Amino acid sequence: MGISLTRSDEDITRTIEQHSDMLFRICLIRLGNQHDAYDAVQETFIRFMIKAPLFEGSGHEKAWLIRVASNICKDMQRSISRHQCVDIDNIKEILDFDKMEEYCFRDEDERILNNILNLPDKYKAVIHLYYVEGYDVKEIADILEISGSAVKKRMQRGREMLKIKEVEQGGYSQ
Amino acid sequence: MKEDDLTREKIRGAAEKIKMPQDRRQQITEHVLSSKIKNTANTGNRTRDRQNGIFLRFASIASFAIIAILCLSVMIYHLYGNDPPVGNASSLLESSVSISNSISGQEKESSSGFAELFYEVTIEIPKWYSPGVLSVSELSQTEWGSDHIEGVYSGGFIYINEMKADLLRTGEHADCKYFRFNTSTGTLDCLDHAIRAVLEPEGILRPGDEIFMDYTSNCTDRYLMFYINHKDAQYRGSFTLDLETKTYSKLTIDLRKNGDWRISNDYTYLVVGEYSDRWRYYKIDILTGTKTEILDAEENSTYSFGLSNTNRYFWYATYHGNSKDTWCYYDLTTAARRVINTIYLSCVTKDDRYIVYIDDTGLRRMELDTGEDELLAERGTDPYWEGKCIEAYDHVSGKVLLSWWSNSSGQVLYIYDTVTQHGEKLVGFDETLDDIWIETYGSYYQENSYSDEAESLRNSKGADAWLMDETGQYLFFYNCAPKHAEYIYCYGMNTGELFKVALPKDFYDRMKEETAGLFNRENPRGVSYRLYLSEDATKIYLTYEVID
Repeated sequence: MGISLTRSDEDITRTIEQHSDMLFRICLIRLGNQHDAYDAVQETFIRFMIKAPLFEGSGHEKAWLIRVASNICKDMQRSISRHQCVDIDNIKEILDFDKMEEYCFRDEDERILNNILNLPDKYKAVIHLYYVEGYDVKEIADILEISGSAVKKRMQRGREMLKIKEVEQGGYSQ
Repeated sequence: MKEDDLTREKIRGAAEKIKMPQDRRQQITEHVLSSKIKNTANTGNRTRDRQNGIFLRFASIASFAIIAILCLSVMIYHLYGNDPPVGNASSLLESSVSISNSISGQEKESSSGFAELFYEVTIEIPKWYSPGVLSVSELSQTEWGSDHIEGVYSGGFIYINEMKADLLRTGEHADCKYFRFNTSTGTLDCLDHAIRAVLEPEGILRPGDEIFMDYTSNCTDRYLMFYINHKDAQYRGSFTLDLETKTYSKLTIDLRKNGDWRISNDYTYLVVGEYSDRWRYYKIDILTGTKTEILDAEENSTYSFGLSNTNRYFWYATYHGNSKDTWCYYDLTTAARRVINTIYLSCVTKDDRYIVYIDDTGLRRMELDTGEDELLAERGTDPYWEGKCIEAYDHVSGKVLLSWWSNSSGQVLYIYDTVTQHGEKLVGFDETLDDIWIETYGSYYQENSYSDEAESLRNSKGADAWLMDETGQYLFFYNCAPKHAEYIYCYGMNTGELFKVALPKDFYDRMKEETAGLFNRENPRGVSYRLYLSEDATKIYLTYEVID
């Protein structure tokens, strides 16, 4: 069983380099607060260092990290002292303003991200994992520990809500 | 290119532009590596990691514990076989499906035309339990069982997940999405109809309009918050509905946006936080939109804010690093501030009199009005410090009802009742209760089904579900440990005595069968439990959800 104390610094550093962007996106979209997102990502890697088993491959490792990050986000959201406190109306408002140029957002990017940010939490997770991380329904069900039918329904509802917003904003031609 | 592929391309393209800033990545790397050194040296500094560790331990329980709908099955089963009763606008089903202790059972027709499973048994209810009767009630339906309603748990109503409401969408409720079961009346309420009954006569809800409500936001048992879109996606507005007075208000905020705000108990105003160079907080009248400043926090790192239980205080929290949080309570009537530096804010009493919190010295209590602060329990080397603090709180209002502290083996050392009038009670569990409370359930898979390793096996200790009645006199709990799994326990907060009521045998057998997979490495499953109590405290419901 490979656990924290047997992981090398190089292994930990590699994992952080490889997956921190992905986890940051997930946590940011889920929590709507960059500081909480940093905390959640950090906690995920500490967990990785302490608890993570040996993985069968990079995909396995990535899925494990997503699951742990999702659980941490869920727990942070549930905690009474961790209500969202930053307006997540706009993606630009939850990222470091002085780093905004690095993100190179186009108007359309911003609109899409804002729409996802404004989805209810349960839809955000499945939409993100499906569209951004490229997981299929079965894999999402495994990661989020919900049934495949629940994933499908959340996908369907999330898509509908996104589409409604896109129509309102003129993003889709009908 | 298919529309779905196009959508995926657009969404992925936008999302992948979000990257963690390099300096943050570097900080995290350094922090994680330094934590490794600390772990290796087995030092126990109580850092934010430790605090987050508590969160993680919560997660080990709470990742399951969202909601279970075992309750509803008998009702739905019979709904299939019969036309739903058409009652008033909000009542879908008149059914008191009460399966009391299950020594003898029979099926009978209820007055509503639905067959009820009805079991009667006389059990020894102690005199100190003033309701005089406590029956375990069951409403279960397998088809409903596997999805959660996140965030809503009041103890008195069982909210039906929108996704699981399909079975109820028949007849006049074909287009309805929002239902809840009232444990006091035994009725299933259609919230869509409750809204329509008020808004349609006013011409606000029209044909083709659709209601959108998120139980996880600011809905309570009394107030619903929702917005209305026409089927062409045209936004009609956001509203609240007072279910008691059957009156509505049109909001000046747009609920389609997950804004950063809290709502007052009486649903008359919001508090919002706005950040420019630092945080400033405002009060907004929900009807007029009038905005007035509450205070300038003079802080730039606030991470949370809200209103106290009675709404007397506005509070905000700031994180200063090294696990230190600062909580500022601002008296909205006198403008006085109380500042608490804490590692873990534990609870504020229901009457807002005290804050109970943990700092480097131990468990402390401050009286908000006077600022007097006292030490309740020293930190020292007491093993409780290595344990956990658990809060039972009303998920609807977010108010803490009960906090307790336990040591690393799960033994409860203190329980702080915040429901009683003065919130002063601090009691120790007696040995009998403690034994039942902490009984180990066994090993089960929880979070790491990707691993074949033994580390994914965990022990469950402590009660699996708990509920305090509204008066604060009775603590109900359920522990699925083999010795106790057939019972729900009731602990008298004033008497320190305990009694138990048995689950219906059929219910227990079915639950046992469904949860047996917990011990199967090839079929890892999780389970969460919840208790609900009728207003008169005569009926209690246990619900569970099995997660495949």
